[in-house]
Amino acid sequence: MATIMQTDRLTKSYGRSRGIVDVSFEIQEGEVFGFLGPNGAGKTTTMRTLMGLLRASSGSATIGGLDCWQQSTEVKKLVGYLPGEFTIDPGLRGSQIIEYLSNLRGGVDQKFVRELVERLGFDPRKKFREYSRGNKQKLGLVQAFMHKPRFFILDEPTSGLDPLNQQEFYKMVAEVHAEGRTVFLSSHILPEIEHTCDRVAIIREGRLVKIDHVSSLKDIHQHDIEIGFAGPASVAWFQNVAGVTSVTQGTSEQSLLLQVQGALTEIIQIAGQHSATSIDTHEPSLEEVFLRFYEPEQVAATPAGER
Amino acid sequence: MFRTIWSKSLREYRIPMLCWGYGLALLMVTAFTSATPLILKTYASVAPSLRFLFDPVALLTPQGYVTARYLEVLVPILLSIWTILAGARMVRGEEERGIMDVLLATPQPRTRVMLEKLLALLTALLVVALLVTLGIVGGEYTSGTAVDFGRASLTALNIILLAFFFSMLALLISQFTLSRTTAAGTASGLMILAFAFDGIGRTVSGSWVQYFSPFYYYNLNRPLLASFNDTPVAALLLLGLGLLFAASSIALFAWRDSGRPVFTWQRRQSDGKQEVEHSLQQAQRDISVRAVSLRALRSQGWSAFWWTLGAMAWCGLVVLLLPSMQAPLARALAQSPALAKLFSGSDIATNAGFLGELVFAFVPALVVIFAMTLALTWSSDLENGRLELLLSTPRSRSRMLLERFGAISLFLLLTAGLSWLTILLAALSANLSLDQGRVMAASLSMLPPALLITSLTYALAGRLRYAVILGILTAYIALAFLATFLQDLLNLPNWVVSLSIFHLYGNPVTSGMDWGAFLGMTAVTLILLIASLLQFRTADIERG
Repeated sequence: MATIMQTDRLTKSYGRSRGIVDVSFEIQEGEVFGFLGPNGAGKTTTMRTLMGLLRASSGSATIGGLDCWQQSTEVKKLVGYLPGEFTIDPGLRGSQIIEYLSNLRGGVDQKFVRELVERLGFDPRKKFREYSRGNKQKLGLVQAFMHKPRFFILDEPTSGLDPLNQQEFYKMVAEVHAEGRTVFLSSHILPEIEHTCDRVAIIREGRLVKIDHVSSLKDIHQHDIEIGFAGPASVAWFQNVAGVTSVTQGTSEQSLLLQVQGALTEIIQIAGQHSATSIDTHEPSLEEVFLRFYEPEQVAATPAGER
Repeated sequence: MFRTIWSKSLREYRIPMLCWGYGLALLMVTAFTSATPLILKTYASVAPSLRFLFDPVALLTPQGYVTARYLEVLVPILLSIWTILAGARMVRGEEERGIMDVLLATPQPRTRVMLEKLLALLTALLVVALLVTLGIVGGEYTSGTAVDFGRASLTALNIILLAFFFSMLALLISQFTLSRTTAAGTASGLMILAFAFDGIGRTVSGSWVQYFSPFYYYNLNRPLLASFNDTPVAALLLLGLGLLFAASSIALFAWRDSGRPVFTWQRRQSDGKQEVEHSLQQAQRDISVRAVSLRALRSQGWSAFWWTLGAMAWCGLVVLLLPSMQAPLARALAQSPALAKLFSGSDIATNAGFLGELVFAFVPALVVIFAMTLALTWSSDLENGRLELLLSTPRSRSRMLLERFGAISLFLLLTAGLSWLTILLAALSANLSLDQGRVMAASLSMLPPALLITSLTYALAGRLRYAVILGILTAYIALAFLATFLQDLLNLPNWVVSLSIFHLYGNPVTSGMDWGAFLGMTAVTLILLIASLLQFRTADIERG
């Protein structure tokens, strides 16, 4: 797959305030790429810099091989953008806003606009000031999808949407994904990233801390395992096994609680040698991985067993 | 200041309260000190032509002159503009910005919330009344006329009573509208209508429309004039109506949904799909959403209409009044060197000189202020993040800025052109001889100063906040106007006066087109426009 978006040591600072620092990553054409981070981590700043709305303090960003600042007008022809929050002339009706943005973009298929309006259940008759948060978000989605862009930049796209419309949005993402188009979406809703994205980048305090496939990201966490034995169990059996970060007695003297980093092959072998009767492993969720990345650094560095 | 809703609201009023209070007090002092016997005599001689504006009562006394010239129309309208805005935004403005929900989430009854806000406005108005009273007393003292504190304070109370009436009217209207702008606009329209009814009542015998005008009841009391028979019941009527509007507004606010008007138009649900299609088709036919420039023309159209109408009305009125006012004013100037200095030695005995002093000394300032209000919407849109979505479309920033600038230029051209056309038609109907070429030159020469202010606003937008730009430009326009208008009286150095756009505008209606100044200001406009383009190309865009 070809690279459609690339940032190289992208930095944006606001005077003394931090924006983003040395953000470097690539998105391949056709993938759905998630951007995870808590409020104020730098997700929106990154996306707005890609859209040429902010001028990078240093570093560079390209979309489709075009510089996001120098050639931003050309870049915008490729992109469908949904801002995190947006406002426009409050006296304009939804239909007028769609038409206005269609005219400014050019080449919008009106039949497809109607399909989107119907699909999302958006009422275009009201004035912008009358729309609820969710309806504003629907309007944002209609205008981001209406020109069938090659690359989507969606800042917290399901924010304010009801569960039915969230599901509809996931379907829309799946469809554009199937058509080979690229989606770059930010969120702090982990199941959303888990369900929709191929790869994910995690940003903390303006710096990228991890980029990986969603599936790989799950594997790096510590498994919590409870093993039951036919007779009394000893913590010494597992203490010196590679990857085991903590061993404690379980709810009875016949069980042990282990925290394990990495593969479980050796643990299963040792448990078998001591006549284990049950092994209960807790499957990691992305949320646990996410929380681990956002713990203050000094706490995150402390072995789990010492906490 | 944050202990109660009353004190918090009063804090919000502190700047307009003090600005209006001190401003009107200063106006009163200036009005009394300018009431020289010659001025009084001159004013009394032109009064019959101005009956639409005021009743000529005791015009040969300073109190009569001040009442007729300032207190019958000018001061109450000026103060009412502020109170109408305050009334319209009292609850509707906060609902629009989403602040009211937070306030109503506290354990405070709605009636109390509104009552405290009302009391804060009343307190602010009483402070304004106190300052106006001091201004009148100060004016009487400095002009050497008899000081009467009681009459001065009753005069100030009468003014704030009318301003309170219009404020409560705007508040009541805002209960039925979704936006504060609609409420303020409707209330302002009704105020203009009321003013017109009062004027018609004065000039058309047997008329009864004035009884619908609060100005009529306001003017039934002129406490500053000892010889005038006041009608206190008229003041009580205004107070009663104001309180009735207030009570109705409180009751409606307590009853209606927060953030919604009293009556909501219910859409039919049955054929929703058809209506959606209709709405989309209607939007496709809407020319105003086809380009940024067309959108700017549409959104600023009403504002431009009113400003242009104001300029045209002033131009037409002065031309029509010229035959009756020219001779008395010329005589007054001949007898008063100080007054002649104010008119910069112009020969107002000629038609062109008269127009130069009474039209083209003021209308350019009006057009410049108009240009500033239009240009400031760019700064406001930038600051409120309204450009983010537009800039996500493949339109260059330069094009977007130039389209907005172009829309303003077109409005200004229309205003200048229609002002010229009004003078032409009024002169024809009054059978006046005017050099129409020079009138056209004077009208078109208004464009460079107005465009210069527009491009200056654009150059500052994005670098400075809206309020700062507004402050800088307002101060510059006021000082530039005063420096030009009072240059002979104040003996200002030439270099100071030459910084004024109004000085550079000159007096083309009498001396012809000053191409040097015209092209010079146009060149500065272009430089500022290029600076604003460069600035905007590298500016960060605010979030929505």
